[in-house]
Amino acid sequence: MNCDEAFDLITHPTDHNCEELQWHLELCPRCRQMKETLAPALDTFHQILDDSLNDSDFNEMGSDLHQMQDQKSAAHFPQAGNPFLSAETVRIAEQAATRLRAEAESNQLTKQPAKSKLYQRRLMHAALILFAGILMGWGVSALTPENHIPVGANNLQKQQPCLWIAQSTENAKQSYQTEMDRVSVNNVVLSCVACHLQSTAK
Amino acid sequence: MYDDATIMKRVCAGEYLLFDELVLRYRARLLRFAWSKFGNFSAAEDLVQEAFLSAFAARESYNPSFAFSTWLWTIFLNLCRRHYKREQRSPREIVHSSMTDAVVIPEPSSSETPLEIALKTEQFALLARYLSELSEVQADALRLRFFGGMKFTEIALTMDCSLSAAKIRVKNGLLQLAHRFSEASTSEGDVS
Ligand SMILES: [Zn+2]
Repeated sequence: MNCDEAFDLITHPTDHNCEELQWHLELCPRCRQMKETLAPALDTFHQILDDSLNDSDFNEMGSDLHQMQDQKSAAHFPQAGNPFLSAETVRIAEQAATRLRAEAESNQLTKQPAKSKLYQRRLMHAALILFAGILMGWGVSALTPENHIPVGANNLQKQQPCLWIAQSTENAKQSYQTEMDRVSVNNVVLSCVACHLQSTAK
Repeated sequence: MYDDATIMKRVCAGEYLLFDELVLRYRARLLRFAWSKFGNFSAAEDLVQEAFLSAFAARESYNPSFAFSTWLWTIFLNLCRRHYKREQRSPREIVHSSMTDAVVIPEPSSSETPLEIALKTEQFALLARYLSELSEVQADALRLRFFGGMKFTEIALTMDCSLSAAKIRVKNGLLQLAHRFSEASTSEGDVS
């Protein structure tokens, strides 16, 4: 859970005491502080909701309110010539429907290009890595023609772990410089390409 | 039971009485919203009734690509804002409309529902009063969040604003409310 999701739960009408939020609050002083600051307002809202939620609502439960509503709503719908209903009011409803429909449609439209963009980006990524591999391989072979270039990606990874990943470990930090000196250029390049190709494929 | 979209589909096909189910689902939340905005139970009831009636009358314009609840809340919010503007223009016609004066808490009667009783407490009146001191959009965002039980995405759609704007309205509104409550409790402590 991130802090944004925590805020959703802190201000949730019913789930504001859930376990996930408590865990987050224990670990996150920022959200804990936020909750404490907002407490006077939040507590009031939650208490009012707790008091009135027995009747209906978020749980879609309730007995007495429903009985009352049964009587009332039977008189409300559908009735012609009700004084409350004006042409302007109906127009408000129609305009709201038009806007919400347009928003729903535009949301769908933006979702589709997002999918194809992601696919395009992946393709581009793979092509770039392949291109870099070919280019480096060509450069290395031009510089050190006597070097034998291994072929299998799995073999490569066993020979030499990706240096960018290994760099983060303490061991790698210490031996990084000597390692760089020792490892031939083509091994570094090919091991990185092999490793990243694998992670991209995953 | 059917979901909202199915009910609307069937209502459009002529099963009008099914609309009652939607009234049962949303009436209490809408009432809580309007009662906290206008502090007048009969005005709140009228607005809720008007919202349902207009949704019913405009039922053919409903489309399942959006949620019925969002549509209903959008209609209701617009009706409430229109009513609020009218109140601001002619405040004498309405009793304790703006809630900046002392809020009158009616005595609960035996025929009232738990909802009505809960909405007639001193605590609710105080909250409603502090809400009325916020900007209208902040107060409405808070009402939608807590009394409407809405998600932030739904609030954004209903208020026709961005998701982050909806969150900021709720957050800033809460900060101001919390400050107001703290102030009040401090001054209470000073008096006693
Ligand atoms: Zn956090």
